[in-house]
Amino acid sequence: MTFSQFALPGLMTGCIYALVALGFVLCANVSGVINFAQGEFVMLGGIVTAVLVSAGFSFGGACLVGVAAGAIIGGLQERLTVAPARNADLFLQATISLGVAIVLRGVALIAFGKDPISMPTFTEGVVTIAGAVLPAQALWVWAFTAFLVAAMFCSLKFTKIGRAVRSCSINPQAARLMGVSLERVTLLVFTVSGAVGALSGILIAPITLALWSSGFDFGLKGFIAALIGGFTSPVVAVIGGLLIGLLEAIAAGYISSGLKDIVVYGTLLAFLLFRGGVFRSRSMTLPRAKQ
Amino acid sequence: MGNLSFTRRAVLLGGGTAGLIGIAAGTVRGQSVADFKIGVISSLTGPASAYSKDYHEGFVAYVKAWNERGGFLGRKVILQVLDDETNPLNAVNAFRRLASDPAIMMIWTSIGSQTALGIKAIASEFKVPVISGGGIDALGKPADPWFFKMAPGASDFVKGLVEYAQQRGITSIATLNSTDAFGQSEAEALKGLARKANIKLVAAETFGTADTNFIPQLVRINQAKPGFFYNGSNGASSILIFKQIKQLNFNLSMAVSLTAINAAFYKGIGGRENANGVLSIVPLGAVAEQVGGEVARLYAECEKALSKPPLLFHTWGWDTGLVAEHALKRSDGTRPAIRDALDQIRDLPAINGPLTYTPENHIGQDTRGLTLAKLEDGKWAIVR
Repeated sequence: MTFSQFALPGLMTGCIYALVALGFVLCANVSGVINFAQGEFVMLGGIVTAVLVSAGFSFGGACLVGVAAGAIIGGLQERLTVAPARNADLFLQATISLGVAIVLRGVALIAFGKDPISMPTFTEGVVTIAGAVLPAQALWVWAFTAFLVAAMFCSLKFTKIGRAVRSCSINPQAARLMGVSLERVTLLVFTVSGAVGALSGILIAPITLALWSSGFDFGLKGFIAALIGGFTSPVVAVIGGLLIGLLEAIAAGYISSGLKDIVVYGTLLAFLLFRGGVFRSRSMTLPRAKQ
Repeated sequence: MGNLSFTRRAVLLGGGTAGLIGIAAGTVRGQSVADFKIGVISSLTGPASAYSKDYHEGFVAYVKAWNERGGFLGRKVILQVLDDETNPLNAVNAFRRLASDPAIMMIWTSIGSQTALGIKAIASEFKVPVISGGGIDALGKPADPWFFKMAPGASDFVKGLVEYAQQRGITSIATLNSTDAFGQSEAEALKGLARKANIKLVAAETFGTADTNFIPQLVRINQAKPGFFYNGSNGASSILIFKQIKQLNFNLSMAVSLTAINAAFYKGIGGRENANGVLSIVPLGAVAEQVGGEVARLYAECEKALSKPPLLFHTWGWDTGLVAEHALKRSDGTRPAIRDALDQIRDLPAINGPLTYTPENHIGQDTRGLTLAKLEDGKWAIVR
C-alpha cells in the first residue's frame, strides 16, 4: 500500500507538470521563446474558475470561462510581447516572458486576494487503487491529461494545422515559402498553450486549492520536464513531467520530505551536466535559434 | 522721512518673515511641537496583512484611548506609519527611515518573524527602542538591548503542548512543520522539550510552504503511530493537510498552530463545524471573556476603543500600547530612558498575559498568557 500511496498522488501532480512541459515545448519549438509564464496559466485557470464557482456561477460555465481566460491571455501575451520582440535576442525574449509571469502573479494577487480559494471536485469522494486512497478527482486529472496529450499528438501529426506547426518548428523559412504564416501559427500555439495550462489548473485546483502564487512551482517543475525533453521532444517532456511528479513523491515518502526538492533539482543538475553541460555529448539548442 | 518709512517697512517685513519661519519650524506636517511621535511599521498590504492589519488596528485603538486620557504628559501621541508591503527589504528601509527621525522616540511593528529578525539586527545601530510582533524566540533571546518582542515565543506555545501531552500520559508525539524560520523554530523547540519530558518524537516531518501534496508526510506520521500529532502549518498548507488527513481517513489526535485558524481555513475545509474538536494552544486574548479578571477587563477596554469585538491580533496591538504607555510614564520620554524603563517591566498585566522584560530576555509574554483550547463552531473554548 505504501508505495502506491506515495506514487499515485505523485503521478497526479506529474500530469500537471507534463501538461505545463508540453506548453513549454510547443511555444519554444515554434517561436524559440521559453515561455516562463506557462505555469501562471495553470494558476489563472484554477483561480478564475474557483472565484466564479464561489460567486454562484454554474460549474461548467465557470470552467469554460477559466479556459477562455487562459487562451485569451496566452494570445495577448503573443501579440503584445512575443510578436514585437520576434527578432530580439533569445535572452531578452525569455526575460520578457518572465516579466509576463510576474505581472500575472501580481494581477492575480490584487484581483483575487492572498487567501487560498476552494473549488469543488468534479466528483466527490475517494477511490482506492492498489491499496492507495486517492481523491476521485485524480481520475479526472489522469483522464483529461491522457486525452489532451493524445489530442495534441494527433492534431500535430494528422491535421493541416498540426503540419503547419511542425513545419514552423523544423524550418520557419521553408514554412513561410510554403505559405504558412509564422505569425498566425505562433499566435495559435500560445493561445492553445494558455488554454491547456488553464485547463490543467482547473483540474488540479480542487485538490491543491487556487492561490495566486501556485503557478510558480508548476512552472518550475514543468520547465525541468521540458528541459529533460530538450525543448524539442513533446513525448520526452510529458514523460519527464510524470517522472518528476513520481520522483518528488517517492523521495518525500522514502527518503525525507525535506529532501524531495533536492532530489528533483539534483536530477536536473545531473541531466544538465551529462546531457548539455560539462560532460555533454551534443549541444542543445532550440530549433528556432538555429535559423 | 523717506528713510524712516523704509526702515519701518523693513522692520515690519523682517518681523513678519521671522514670525512665519518660526511657525513653520515649529510645525511639521500639521503637528504641533508638543506631539509625541511613535514610528510604526505594519504589513498593511501583502500576505502578512491578514494578521498585521488587525494588529495595527489595535495600535490605533490604543493610541486613540490614550489620547482621550490626555496622552503622554499632555502631549498628543501620534503614529507615523509605514507599510512594508510584507517585504523584508521594505521593512528594513522603513525602519531606517523612522529610526533616523530624531522626533521618533520608539517604534512599534506588527510584522512577521522573518522581517522582524532583519530589524533586530540593526536596532542597536540606531538606538531606538522597538516593540515588535513576530513569533520566533530568536527575536527576544538572545536579547538585543533595543529590541523587545511582545508575544510568547514559539517555545512557549510548544511548552503548552508538551504539558498537555504529559498531563494526559501521552508518551509519543509527531510533528509537521514548515521549512521556514518559524516552522523550524517550533520544531527545534518541540524536539528539545519532548526529550526533557521523556516524550518520544516518533516523526518530525517538514514541508515547503508552496507544497500541495502532503500525503508522504502524513503516511509516515500515521505509520509512526504517535499518541499526539502537532500540525504546525498555516495558510493553504493547513487547509490541504486537514483535507488530506480526512481523505486518508487517518485518526490522528491533532493540535494545530493558532495561525492556521482563520476565515479562509473554515471556508477551505467546508465550514466551521468541520473543525470542531481541533485543539490548539491559544493566547488568553483569544478566550479573554472566559478567563475573566484583569484579562477580561482589559479586553473590554480594547473592545470599547475598537468599537467591535477584538480579534486575537487586535489584542496584541493593544498590549503593545499598554507596554509603551507603562514605560513612557517611567521615563523622561527619551529613547534611552524608554529602553531602560522597558527593561524594568515585571508582570505587567495585559490581555495576553503578564509581561516581563529583563536585560537577558526580551520576550515579553510567556506560558502564563497561554491556555489549551478547542474549537467549537468557530470559537475557542478553554479545555479545563
